[in-house]
Amino acid sequence: MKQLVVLRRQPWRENDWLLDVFSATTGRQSVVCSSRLMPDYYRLYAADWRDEQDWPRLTVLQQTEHWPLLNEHWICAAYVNELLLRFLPDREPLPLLWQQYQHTLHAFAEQHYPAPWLRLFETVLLQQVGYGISWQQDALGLPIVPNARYAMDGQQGWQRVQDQTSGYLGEWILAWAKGNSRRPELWRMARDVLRTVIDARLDRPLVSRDFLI
Amino acid sequence: MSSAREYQALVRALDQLPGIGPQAALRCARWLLQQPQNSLLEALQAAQRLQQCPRCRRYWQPQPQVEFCCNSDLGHADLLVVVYDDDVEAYRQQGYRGRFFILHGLLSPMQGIGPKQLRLSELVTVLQREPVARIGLCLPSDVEAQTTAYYIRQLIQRAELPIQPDVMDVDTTAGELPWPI
Repeated sequence: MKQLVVLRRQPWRENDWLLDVFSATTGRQSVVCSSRLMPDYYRLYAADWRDEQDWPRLTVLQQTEHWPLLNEHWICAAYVNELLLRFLPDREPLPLLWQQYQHTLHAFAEQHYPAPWLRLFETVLLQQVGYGISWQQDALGLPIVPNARYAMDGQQGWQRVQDQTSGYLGEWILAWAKGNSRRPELWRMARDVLRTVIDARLDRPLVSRDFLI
Repeated sequence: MSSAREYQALVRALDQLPGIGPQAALRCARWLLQQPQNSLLEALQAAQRLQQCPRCRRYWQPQPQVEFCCNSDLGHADLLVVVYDDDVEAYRQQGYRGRFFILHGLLSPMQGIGPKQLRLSELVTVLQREPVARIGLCLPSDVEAQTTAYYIRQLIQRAELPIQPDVMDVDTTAGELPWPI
């Protein structure tokens, strides 16, 4: 049996659905399931499938965990799922990201304050798919200087800027790298920087961002 | 030699349909092109004639001098928010005579459907223009529906409208009305 979560459900044939699933052992992949088996979002399943002509077909599906969500945690979980759908390559196991997804959904279900979990998930996701951010070096490989200012280029990394009113102070970037989590301005910086890198890697905007009223 | 541009455009358009992938789109295009031209044309013309009523968003064919399809519901104190056009008749058959607002889908970022795609801000516009005493959200129990309900509640709250929707799970209530008639 394989462990999986559902990232997307689409009607396929009269009584079948096409699912995008994220699995511990196979990463992201498409499988077909009948309406009778139909899994829901934000639940962990033990499942099995057999190969068929187009996509593998789910043959066994047992729910092993449910992350019940409320209020803003719905929106956060939708964002996390959309990130996975947009970034995950096909059939590449990513065990660290799989673990982080479960921790994140568990925290949302426990109604923890979502921002730290979102930042952590974004960081692990980018690292795992090869777009990780260095918080200690700039785009040229030079160490971040505490009293210099830097702007994040979503494709290249940190760029040193001369304008003293734009970008972020090197000291902030290094403080974040050291895990300083007590300063609100560092959280705002991390949110904006991660968003810049995520957006730079996508061909169109994330729909779930529009959910934030 | 590559396929005609129009043929490729047809395949791409069919590929956008729910549950249709590139191979199925190709099969549909071949099938469609073998059908009598008149029946295809009629279907497309019917789709073109239909518009959404600016108040309730039911599909209707606009008529001269008639602003909305639902003029007779004007002034009614209740509004039901339903997912699809087909839901309207089901509630009418139960005796409901109030107003409707049709979402035409549920929020699902995983399928690229957000508040912009559903034009959810139109609900606030309708409520500001013609206030109601009660709103019922008649939605299924799945994750997309619960996300949509949460978003609509937030939208109404942020617009400072003096009303909060009653959320009805149509899966467990079998489509019963949220209030006695």
